[in-house]
Parts: sequence; structure tokens; C-alpha cells
Amino acid sequence: MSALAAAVAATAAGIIGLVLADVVTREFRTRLDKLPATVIRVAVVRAPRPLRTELHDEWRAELNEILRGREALPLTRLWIGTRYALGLLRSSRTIGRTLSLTSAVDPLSALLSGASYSDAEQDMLRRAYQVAAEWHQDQWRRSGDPHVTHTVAVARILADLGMDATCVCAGLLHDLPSRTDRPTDRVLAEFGVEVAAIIRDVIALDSVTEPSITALVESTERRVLALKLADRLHNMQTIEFMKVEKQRQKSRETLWLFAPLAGRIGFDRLQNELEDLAVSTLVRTR
Amino acid sequence: MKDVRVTLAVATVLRIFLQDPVEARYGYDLMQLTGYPSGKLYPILARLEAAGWLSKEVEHVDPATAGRPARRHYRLTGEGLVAARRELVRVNEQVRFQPGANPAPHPAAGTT
Repeated sequence: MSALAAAVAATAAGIIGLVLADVVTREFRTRLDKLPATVIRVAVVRAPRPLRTELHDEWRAELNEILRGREALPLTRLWIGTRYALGLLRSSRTIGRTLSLTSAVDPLSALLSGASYSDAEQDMLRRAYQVAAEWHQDQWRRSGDPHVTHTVAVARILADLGMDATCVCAGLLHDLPSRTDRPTDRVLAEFGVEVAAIIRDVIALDSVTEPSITALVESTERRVLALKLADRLHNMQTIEFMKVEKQRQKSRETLWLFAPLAGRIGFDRLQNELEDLAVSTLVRTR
Repeated sequence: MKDVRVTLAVATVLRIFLQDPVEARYGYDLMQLTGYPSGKLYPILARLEAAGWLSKEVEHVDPATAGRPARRHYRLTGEGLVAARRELVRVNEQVRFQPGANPAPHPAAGTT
């Protein structure tokens, strides 16, 4: 009789033990199951912003396949999934850079095909792009794009305004002095005195205190003002990635200074575009 | 189109695509076929995609009915097919004719 009781007690204890163990492992597993997905989310953030959704969707779908596969036991699959995610965490920065550098090549060819430049001018613009891409290569816009996409966009705006190759070239190179250690006299030696002068004068505009539109128009070359305005236009086009207070400040400045300046020197469409962007930003951040 | 530096690892990936050029391959399947971890395979895929040798497409599946997210698969482009054939010939010759080199066995050859 006591042997039977002992057997029953042992069985009951065994069952309770199994249930407890199951509850514990299940709790452990549901937490652990989330680990690789979390690692992938972190990995994706290391890639430039425009690529993130696509990379996340691709990697999550593969992870899903690994975790739900049939070739191994659940914990083994979880281990494989975690290793998969950690490998991506290690390499997502490289992957992002590889993929985003190609998308930056296209705007340049669009820039070259859009206007009629001589062979020498095209060659100069290609060299300028290469210099900018090389020297800005570890720099990123707040949007997550490589910084060179900004200088290409500025060059594109200048080309659309009908500016000459010298001015477009200065657009491609305009952020070198303020953002890189590249000696400024190298631009002078490689791209000529005009390009170097435009860049120097654009940077000098930043230190003008209490700028007035009339004074700016009278004292500054038109190509310098065009570059300043193109720079501002692209910054306004990508303003959503800035802090709200900065967005409002830049928008107000655009409204009272840059838009009217564009109008004064005959860039009517640019004026309209600047005004639209500034007003919609001020409304959106109200 | 950019140039791709075809390392042995890149060649291994290309060889798998060339075994059946129209077949689309998933990232995880390629990891299993090559034995490479994700941290090694995906940068290679990115380089080949950036160079225009591979194209990436979304799998034709409705996530709602399938109960899982749609996967991405990779396929050789026309340019990629030509380039991959050319590069593999070059790599094979390098391996074969390098004096004193220890030739890596061809994965498909099955030398036992």
C-alpha cells in the first residue's frame, strides 16, 4: 500500500516537475525568440535611412524562414537565427554603404546628359564628383544618405538654373573646405581660379552679419548667390530630418532673405519653390 | 556599371548562380550552399547587386494567405551572366597556372 502511495506521489511530483519545467522553458523561449528580431532591428539602423525598410523586410523574412524551418530542433534554429542576425549586425554598415554609393552615381549622369557641356567641361565635372565622393565618403546627411548626394543635388539645381559648368563644378565641391581637411589650394590648382573663388565667396557669405538683399545683390557675383540659393533649396527639400526648432528658424530665414533674393536676381521658380517649402514647413511644425 | 573585385568568396557565390542561371536564390539558401555566415555572404550580395550583376526581387507570394512575409531572391542579370562567366574563367586559370599554388578543389568536382 505504501509502495503504491509512494509511486503515486512520485508520479505526481514528476508531472508537476515537467509542467514547471515546461512553463519555465516556455517563458525563457518566448523571450529568447525575440532576440534575433531585435538584433536585426538594431542592424538595420546602421544602414542609411532610405535603405532601412527594404533591408529590414528582406532580413526578417529570411529570419522567419530560419526560425520556422524543419531541418532542426527549435533551440538549434533559434541559435542559427541569432547567429544570422549577429552577422548582419556586424556587416550592415558595409552593406548599406555599398548599396547607397551606386544610387549616388546616377544623378551625376543625369546632370551631364541634361545640359550641353563640352568634353572638357564634362571631364571637369566628373573629376569634381570623384573628388567630392572620395572626400565626403564617411560623411552622412541627417536623412541617412551619403553627403555627396547633397553636393550632386546642388549641382543639379545649378544646372537646371542654366548656370555654366564652372558654377556647377563649384556646386559639387562647395562643402570640401568646411567639411573636409582637403587643402583649399588644391581646388585652385585642379579646377581653376574661378571655381575656387566661387566656393570661397559662398563660404564668406555665412559670416555676413545682418545681410540685406540689396547689399548682397550689389556686392556678390550672381554665380555665388546661385550656389548659396541652390544649397538652401536642397537643405529645405530635406529639412524634415532636422530638429523642429531648427526647421522653423531655417524656414523663417528662407522666407525673409533667400526667397526674395532669388526673385531679385531673376530666379522666379526658385523663389516660388523656396517659399512653398518654407511655408509648408512652418505650417507642419506649428 | 562598376567593377567587382572577384575574390575567391565572390567566385564561389557566382559559381552557384551559374549552376542554374535562371534560378532565383534566397540569402539563407546561399548561406547554406556556400557555408558562409550572413556577415560574409550579404556584403558580397550587396557588391554584386550594386555592380548590376545580380537583381533582387520580391518573391511572388501574398503574405496574408501564406502567413509569412515575402522573401527576396537574387538572380543573375544579363550583364551579370556574361561577367560571371568571364570572371570564373579568369579565376580558374589563375588557380590552375599559379606556380607553386595549392589549387582549391572545384566544389562541383566532388573529389573523394
